[in-house]
Parts: sequence; C-alpha cells; structure tokens
Amino acid sequence: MSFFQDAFVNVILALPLVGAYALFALGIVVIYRASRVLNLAHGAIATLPAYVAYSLAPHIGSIPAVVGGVLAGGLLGVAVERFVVRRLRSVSQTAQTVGTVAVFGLIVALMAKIWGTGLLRPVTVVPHAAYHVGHALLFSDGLILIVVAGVATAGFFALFRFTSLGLAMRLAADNRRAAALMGIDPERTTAAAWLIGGLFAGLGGVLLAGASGLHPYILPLQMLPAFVAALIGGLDSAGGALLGSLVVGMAIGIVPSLGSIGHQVGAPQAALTLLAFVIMALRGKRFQASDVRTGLA
Amino acid sequence: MVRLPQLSIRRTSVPRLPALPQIGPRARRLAISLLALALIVSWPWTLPLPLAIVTDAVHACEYAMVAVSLVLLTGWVGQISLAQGAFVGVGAFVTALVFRKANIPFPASLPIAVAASALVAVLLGIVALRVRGLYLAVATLIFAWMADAFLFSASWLVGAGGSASLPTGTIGKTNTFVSFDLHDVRVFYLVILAGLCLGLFGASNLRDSKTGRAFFAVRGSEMAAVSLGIDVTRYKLLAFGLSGAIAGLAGHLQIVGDGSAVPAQFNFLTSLFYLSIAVVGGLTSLSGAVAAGILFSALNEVFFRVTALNGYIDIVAAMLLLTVLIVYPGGLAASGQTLGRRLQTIASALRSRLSGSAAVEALDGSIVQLSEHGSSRASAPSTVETVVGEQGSLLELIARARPEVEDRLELEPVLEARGIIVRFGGLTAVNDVSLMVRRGEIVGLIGPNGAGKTTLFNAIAGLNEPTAGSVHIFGKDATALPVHARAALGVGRTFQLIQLFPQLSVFDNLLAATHLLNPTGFLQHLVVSERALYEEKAARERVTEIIDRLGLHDVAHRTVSGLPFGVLRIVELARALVTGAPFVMLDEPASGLDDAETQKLADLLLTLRNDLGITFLLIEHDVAMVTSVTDYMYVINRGQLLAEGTPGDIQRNEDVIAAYLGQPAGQVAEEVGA
Repeated sequence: MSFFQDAFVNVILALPLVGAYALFALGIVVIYRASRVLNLAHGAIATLPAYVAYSLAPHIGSIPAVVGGVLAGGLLGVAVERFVVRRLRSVSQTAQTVGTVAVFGLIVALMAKIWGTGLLRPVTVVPHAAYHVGHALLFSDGLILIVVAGVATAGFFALFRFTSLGLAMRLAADNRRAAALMGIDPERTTAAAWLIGGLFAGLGGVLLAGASGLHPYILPLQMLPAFVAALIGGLDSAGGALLGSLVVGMAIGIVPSLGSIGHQVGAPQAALTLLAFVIMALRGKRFQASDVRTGLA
Repeated sequence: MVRLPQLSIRRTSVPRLPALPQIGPRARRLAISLLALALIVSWPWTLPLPLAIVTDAVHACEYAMVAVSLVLLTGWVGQISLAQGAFVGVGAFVTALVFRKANIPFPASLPIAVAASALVAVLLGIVALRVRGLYLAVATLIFAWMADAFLFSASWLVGAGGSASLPTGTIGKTNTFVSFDLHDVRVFYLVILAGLCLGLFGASNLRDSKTGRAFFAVRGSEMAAVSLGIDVTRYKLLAFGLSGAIAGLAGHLQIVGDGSAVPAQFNFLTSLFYLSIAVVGGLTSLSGAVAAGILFSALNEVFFRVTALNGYIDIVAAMLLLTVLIVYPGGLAASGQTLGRRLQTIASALRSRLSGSAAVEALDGSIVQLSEHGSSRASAPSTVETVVGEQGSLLELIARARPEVEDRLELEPVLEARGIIVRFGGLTAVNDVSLMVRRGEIVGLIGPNGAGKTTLFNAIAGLNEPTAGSVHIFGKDATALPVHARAALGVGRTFQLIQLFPQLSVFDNLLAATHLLNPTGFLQHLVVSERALYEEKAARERVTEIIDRLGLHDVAHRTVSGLPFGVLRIVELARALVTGAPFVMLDEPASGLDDAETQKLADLLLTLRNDLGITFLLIEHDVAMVTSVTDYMYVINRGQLLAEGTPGDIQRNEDVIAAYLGQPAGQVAEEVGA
C-alpha cells in the first residue's frame, strides 16, 4: 500500500476516536468555563457509566441500560461539583484540581473493587457488524460513536446558542459576579455545566468502551488525549476543543504511517506532547500576579 | 531569632535569674538523638519483627522520598506536578540502561540516574516557565501520558520485552568487612534510609536559606519576587531539577532493591498516588512527607494482611486524600503540630505540679521578656545615626542624606526615562513621556484615572516592554534588562495591589528581600557552609533593624494574610527598604489608607529621605499628599506629559486644573453662574 492509502485507512480508523475525544474535550471545556477547574476525574466519570450500563443491560435491555449509564455520568458530575469542587473553592485552584485527583482515585478504586480488574465485554447498542470504507474496515461500534458524537456536538452548540440556559451559562462563565447581579444563580449554571460535562463523559465512555473494551484502569486513561485536545483549543473554547479533538485523533491515525520514526510505539503521543508544549510556550505569559482571591488586594 | 545587640546590652541591666546549667538539657537531647538513631538503624536486626515489616519500611522510605520531591516543587515553589511518577521511572530505567549498555553497577550508576531524572525534570520545567496554574497541571499531565506511552515503551530505554532488569548484587567483596549484600532487605533498608536522609538533609537546609526563601517568594507572587531581584526562571528550573533528582534517586534505589521494573509502575496513576501521599503529609512539610510515607506503607501492609480488607486500600487512600483536602487542609504536618503543642502543655503542667518553683520561674521569665520588650520600644533609635552607630550595616548601599542645593539639575540623576512609548495593539497607553528623578528627591507622578501612570511605571520597572524609549538607572542603560536585573541596579518597589507573600510571616517577607545582599549560592545553602550561616545571620539582623525602625515588632511573626491593610502597606515599604535599594518606586502607597495613615506615611517618606537619603518616585491619586512630600512633580494625562515642575508650579498650572476638573476653571464658574 502506498503512503496515502495507508494514511487514509488510519484516518478512517481514527474517526471514532475523534468522536470520543470531542465528547470528552467538550465536557472538560464546559466544566473549566463554569468552575475554572481542570476536571482530572473526567476519565473516571466517563468509565463508571460504562460499568453501570454493563450491569443494567441484562435486566432492562441494552438501550435503556446505555441511557441509564449516561444519566449516571451526569449525576456523578453534579455530585463531584457539589461535594468536592464547591467545598474546595475557597481554598485554592490547586486544591480543587487535587480534589478531582482524589475523586478519580476513589471512582477507579470503587470500580476495581465492584467489577474486578479483568477486561469485560461491554454493552453494545447496535449489532456487531463491519463496513468497508475504501481499504479500511469500520466496525459498527466505531460508526455509532462517530454518529452520536456528531449529533451530541450539534446539540451542545445549539444549547449554548439558542437557549436561555446556554446564555446564562455563558454569562456566568465570563463573569460570575456580574451574572449574579443579573439574576442568574451561578451555583445553578455551574451545576448545569457539570451535568452536561458528566453526560457527555458518560456518552463517550459507554461508546468508547463498546469499541475498545471495559477495564477500570485502562479506560479512564484512554481519554487522557482529550486533555491535549482541550488544551489545543485553549481550555475555554468549545470550538477549539473540537478542532483539538480532530488534530489529536488525526495525529494518532496518521503519525504511525510516517516511516520508521512514526512506527515507534507512542510516536503519536510524543508528537502531540511536542505540539501541546509548543502551543503553551507560544500562549503563556511570563509573570503572574498573586491571586486577588487571597484577600490581600 | 537573632536579637539586636542593643537589646542584649539592655538585658544585662535587668535583674536575671541565675542561668540554668546548660549541660543538662543538651546532654539529654544528644543522648535521645543518639538512641533514636541507633534504634532507626538497628531495629531490623534487634527487634523480633518479620522481614515483611522491613520491606514496608523500605517502601515507606521510597514513598517519603518522592513525597519530599513533591513538597519541594509543589509545596514550596507552587509548581503542581502530575508527572512525578515519570521522574521516578526515568531514574529506574536509566539505572538499568547504564548497566545493560556500559556495565556500570549500582553505586556508580547512582549519579547518572539522578542526573538523568533531573535533566528530564528541567526539560519539563522549561515548558513550565511559560505556563502556570491549571495549564501547568495539564502540561505535567500530558508529560506523564507521553512518558507512559512513548518513553517507557521505547526498547532502547526499557529493554526488550517491556521490562528492565538489574541483577541485584553486593557492594564490595563478599566475606570481607566492607561488604553489603543487597539481597538482604535489611541491608537495603539502610541504603534507602541513607538516601532518604540525604534528601531530607538537603531539602531542610535549603528551606531555611536564601534559596528556600526565593522558592517561597516565587510561590507567593512572581511579580514581587522579580522586583526583589529574584531570578524566577532560575529558581523554577532549580526546583524542577532538585525535585527530579530526588524522585530519580527514589527510582534508582527502587530498581536496585527490586531488581526489575516495568513501565506500569510509573504511569499516571502512580503519579497521582505520590501526589496523594504528599498532600496527606501537608504538602509543605518535610516531616509530614515522611509521616505520610510511613502511613501509606503501613496501610498497604494492613490491607494486604487482613483478608477482610483486601482490595480496599485504594478506596481508603482516596478517601483519606479527600478528607485531608476538605476537612483538614494542613494534613499530617498540622496534626503533628497540634499534637506537639498539646504534649508540651501537658508536659509543662506536669512539671509545674512536680515542682512548685517552676511556675514562679516561668512567671519571672515572662516578666523579663516583658521588660525587655518595653525597653526595646523605649530605646528604639530615633535617628538613623544610632542605628548606624550600633549596627553599621544598614547604610552600606544607601547614599548620604540629600545635599542642600539651589538647582535640582546639580543633583546626579538616579532614573532617566527618555521618550517612553507603550502601545497595546492599537492603543497608545503612554506617548513619548520623559522623566528624571535625581538623587535624594521625592518625585511624584500624578494623573487622572487611566492616564497611563502604572503603565509608565511598569515600563520603568521592566514589567512591560516599551515600544520605544530608553531607561537609564544610576547612569546604566537598563532598557533591555529583565526586571530582576534592574532590581540589582538598586531599584526597590511597592505595588498598587499589595504583592506580599501571603503564606509567610512579616519577618520572612522581609527576609526574602535580602536576596540581592546575600552573595552565597545554592551549593553553599545545600550544605550550610560557614559563609552561608554568616550571611544568614547578617540578613536576619538587617531585617530586625528595619522592623525596629518602622515599628513593626508587634506583627513581625504574624502571617501576612489577615493583617490590616495599612500595616500591609508599611510592610511592603519595609520590604523595599530591606533590599537596600537607594531608589524606591511606590505605586499608589496611600490608596486604601485613611487620612491619619496617609499623614503618617508622608512623614515616614520624608524621614526616610532625610535620614537615609533614599530617593523616591511615587504614583499617587491623593494630590494633597503628593504636593506635601514631593520636591518635583510630573503630571500625565491620556498618556502624555501635561506638566512638570515643583508642587507650587503644578498647583497653579491651568492645564493640570483642567485635566482634573474636566474643563478650565473659569468655564466651570461661568456655567455655575448661568
């Protein structure tokens, strides 16, 4: 196969990943905008719904189970905000971030205890099938991931553009205090952001598990590239996060077909790390004033 | 605490109790220390404990070592790291690599592995220079991800089959006296204990030195740190390097002890685990890090031994981290302090019950302290000559008092800013402004809100880059110099929004300002050289002098956050004075102060100028205050110089009045009349 054929196949194979990263990265961004927190628990919040769906499926059928799992993700997001992140708001941003680390550890440990540390065959929404796209073989699990991610992303942007909740959330993200003066309850918009973040994480988690298997340690770490995607977009831009997801997914698809260097294990990750660092170096500021919230100003 | 000499002179006149024999407590302390040391070293052989416990101790040392590396980087310098596991991994795999490729065995490979980890950490640190806060968290997260997926998957580093191995062996010849069989976990315990002690020794020495204070300053406020002459870049990279070195040492010793390592040991989850240990320990405390290391190792053992608890360790560890974060932010270090205080209270209560005289003694002691305090207030030097006479250090860098001259042009220029233009995109914030400050003057810079005062100020200090123009400080061209290098030329400053280091006491805030006066380097601080000790003492004396002079004794040992606003302004001024800078720039020093406080500040500035010869440039809103203290004034409006002259000239200047009232004074009267 020529390079282009090879690359084309890899790109097609990477498309489901792009969808999953987009779902995760949008969640990370909406949460960051609402709470100024980097939600490191995102991978765990994504994985638990996949397990919930796995456990519900034998009792209520796979589609209701998937819906139940995704709802569990939303609830989990709200709970994390309510019981951990909000309580640490007065301490510091670092404490909030470390708090999400603790939540990550807690959820992963609970999943490992409840469902064991073996690789499970997850719930699938559609019957197993494979389709030819050129030389590439796309499985039904991957295809549904692409479709659902596309629909969810459209819904995400519609929500923020056309609904009053979306408007309120954008206002509160820009200026919490001013939004409160306008009659918007910032606690509610923050909870809404975490709900959306959790739902999207759950959606991505359930579908990604369908494509790549269910494991309490592996699946949460599989969404780490979504942080790179969110960062490429600047952490606070949903459109940027989509672009970032595309870049990350494509890099994971294309880099391995770039000769001997690309064939090395982890070459896409190395390339993306370099890209992320260059972006940060270009965007960063040199000095930081001390935090106004410390009450010294 | 170093006391002022004059205090010790006074103390002789106060009736004192006969001194207790010194030998008692010191000998007791030495004996206890030796006993503890002997116990810590020998218990694996002397106590009837299973070897598994020794293995736990080895793990505790390893955890503690990595926690110490995090305390240094995250706790002290404020650089969050989610990639500590990767640094540990580099130490482990490089140890195996140099053995595989170059046949370099354990003790010789130690410096190589440590250096490799330090290097990798510094590389990450270079990225960290440009980002902070959450972006830094993301950067380290991405680095951890890359290390797991790429670096530790590379066969050149890890070796074939995805696992690195190192034949554990012996040091020295077997069956001779100098022989260590590292297969024996008890021997290895001593090795890793030595490594931990080395890390603790270095870190605790640094904490109490100029280097440590520079670290805390970077955490507290980078802007203030650079203005004190602290090279933030250098100290951040140093912290990353040191932290990487300690983590690398832990990884090196880990593979030496285990004989093999696989990449999964050093993935992102491991980094989070190490962060948990450091946070539970209190994140800023070395003893807390050690305690947390022991705690987590003990938990591991308990949850492994007790069948009913199998598999719950990770849940409990995560709950512990959450609890510490939400309910008890100080971690183990804080609980240790509380416990220590309680024990002390109990001990002193017991002692007083045992001997009735002890209470009287304690009471007398406090009276002595009180009278000392009183006398120090009473004897506080009223003029600078007394300070100089007794101390002789304060004015080394400060010039004589302002000479009396007819024309200010006869005075030597301290600051000369020529044709400064600052543009932000399309907006010209400062347009071709020139100003000059001469030795011994107090020069004011006033202007309405948004006139470009602070922008001009920052251009002079080096915090923003002017589009055009030049800045000369003490005759040297400083236009291209970074902020910390301008500070080294002799410029101190305060900030409009107070930039003190919130977690430090007033005393330590001021101590950080002795940075440029202290010529000793990082290596001297690491081993506490004679020179470093001498400079440390001098620095503390200097701070004590300034505290006395500005009447800050009462708050000297209070943490800055929570002090009244007026005090914070004085502390910030004191910090600028401690640097010894002969030229101090004040950004709205009276904002937020009431009339009485403003008057006090004005008096203080005049005294400092008259007694110490310090030159001031101040931005101020309070026109009355500026006209009362300054010798010369510049007025800017809409980025342009509107007028300059003596306060008298300025007060009569029509343009200035118009700028402040919005229109010519006559016109206002007309409108009112109509």
